[in-house]
Amino acid sequence: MKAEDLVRQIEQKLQGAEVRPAVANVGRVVSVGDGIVKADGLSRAGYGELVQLEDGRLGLVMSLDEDFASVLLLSEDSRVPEGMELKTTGTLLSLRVSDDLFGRVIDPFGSPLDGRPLSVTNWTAVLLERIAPGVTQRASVEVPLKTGIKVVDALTPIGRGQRQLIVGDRNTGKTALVVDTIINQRDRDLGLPQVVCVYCAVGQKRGSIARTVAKLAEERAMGYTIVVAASSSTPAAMQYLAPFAACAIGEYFMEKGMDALVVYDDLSKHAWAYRQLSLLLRRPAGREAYPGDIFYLHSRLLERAAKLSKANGGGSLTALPIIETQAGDISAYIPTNVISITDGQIYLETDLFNAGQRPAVNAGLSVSRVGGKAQSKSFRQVSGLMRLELAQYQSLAAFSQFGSDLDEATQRRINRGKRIVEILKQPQFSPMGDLEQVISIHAAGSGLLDEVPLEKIGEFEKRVMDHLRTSHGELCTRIASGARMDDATLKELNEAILAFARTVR
Amino acid sequence: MNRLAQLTFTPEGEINQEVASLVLENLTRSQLKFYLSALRREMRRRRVYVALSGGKESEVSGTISERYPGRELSISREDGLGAGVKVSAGDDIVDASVQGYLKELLEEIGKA
Repeated sequence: MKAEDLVRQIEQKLQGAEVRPAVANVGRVVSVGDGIVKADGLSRAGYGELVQLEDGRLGLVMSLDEDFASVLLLSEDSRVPEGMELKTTGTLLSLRVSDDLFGRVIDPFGSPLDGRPLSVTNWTAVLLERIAPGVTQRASVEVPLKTGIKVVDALTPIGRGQRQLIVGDRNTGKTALVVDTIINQRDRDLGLPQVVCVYCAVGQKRGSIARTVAKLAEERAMGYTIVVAASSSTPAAMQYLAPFAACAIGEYFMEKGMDALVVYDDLSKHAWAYRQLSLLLRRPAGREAYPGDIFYLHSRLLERAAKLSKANGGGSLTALPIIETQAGDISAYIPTNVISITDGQIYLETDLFNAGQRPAVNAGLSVSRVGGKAQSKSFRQVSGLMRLELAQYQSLAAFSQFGSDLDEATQRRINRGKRIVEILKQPQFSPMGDLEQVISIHAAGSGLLDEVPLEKIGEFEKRVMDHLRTSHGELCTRIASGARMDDATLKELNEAILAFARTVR
Repeated sequence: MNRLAQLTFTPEGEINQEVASLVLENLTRSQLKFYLSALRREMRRRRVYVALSGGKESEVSGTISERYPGRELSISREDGLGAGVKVSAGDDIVDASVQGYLKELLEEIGKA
């Protein structure tokens, strides 16, 4: 800000001097502990209202009792003297958002955490807590959000505006899956509009957050990504607010008519932070010591994900919450809560991960309730067949150890299933485009790889695209359009794949 | 405690000696702490504190009595206000003083 601007501002303020008195509702600090201030007075304070302490620090009213108000301190320094005055501000917690935030790592209040100064210009103040869009403001989820991961895009497709839970034990590849999804938004598939991404890290080690940010930067994904971080070393208040800040940023872009993706990594730690706050606020503890409104905490957050109707700008906000399970128990309190809130879940399993199947998606326990409608026609055509083959394989897999006693048809089905499982393996940080996925999935699902040795499937997949692009370019263009493949296209594709498959046997 | 604090005052606004001695004799140390908070709240609720710099007390008291009927007025002189008046009624503070205005201005500049 220039000196002239300041002078002009003061002049305007002095010119506009009104003799209207300043009215404030005040209270006094009675006790302080663990970032919670108990204040006497504040009789007109509202739930969720910002209050200001005498020294300028801010607090958030979290509960209103008959004689006291409990205020959550919004600063890392929780030293507050008893008797200090605090006053209501009449405002709710908000954040300044603009395009300047792309590529930056910020805390829930919008302050930079990446060591570089941040100047947010042309900003809009967005409220952290807002009511989710109503039914009439929404449209159906019909546009795909491509993750670039075959097993997800084929079996549990995600649409723009959907809420898809990613659940699994620690070290099963949950963060890797969402990072791949963010990276995949760099190359716009099927000519779809760009998806802006917000990655919200809650309760993670700072080192882990730094590694994720570095990877996103390395993959040139930070240009369209904003990271909101509240590490495990920050007060519980920051961890509680971080997902709401990320959601508010996502909503800002949604309301501009853009497509936004918000990743909450993870909501288990968010629930822990909220449990900590609730216990400090002396709220009654319920199951597993979580407060009674833990479901409402997550439902009001995730309900804000939406696909808006054209009349409302047509933007979307997709939510990918992550939940960490303990010993694979998806029937625990928080996982079941979030499963029931979301439109589907991707379940990652430790055993599959250790067996080398990565991404370790358990196809049986994973489901997408609305994403199927969002798949491209060609993708739906090939993935339907593969899903059927995979389901049959899984029901027969138990018998595979008695291989010699099985009839030929069953043996063939098991062999095909093994090839499907093999083709669904995908290394980290290598998301695939729609065309590559359609061809791989079609090849395995329709039995074109039945004669290819299992150990050669990876090699086939690596080389087939180059071959098809050079020798069947026009066919590739047709498939890449996303339209349903007619019989002639399918025949041509089958012949091309079979011919190539013979060369890798 | 809130009820006890209310009963400590007579309808005329005086201290009820009987209740006061009962409180002092029977309440434990921790109970007294809660009682004191409740008593202070009750005092704030019953009384309007007016800080004044310049102007006539009679004029100000008349206007404020109309605004807060049935509440006792406690008027004091405070030259630090510069000019104007500052009224505290319960948790509400109405600051119509030069000092308050300057403080607000400084806060605005600080935000900028």
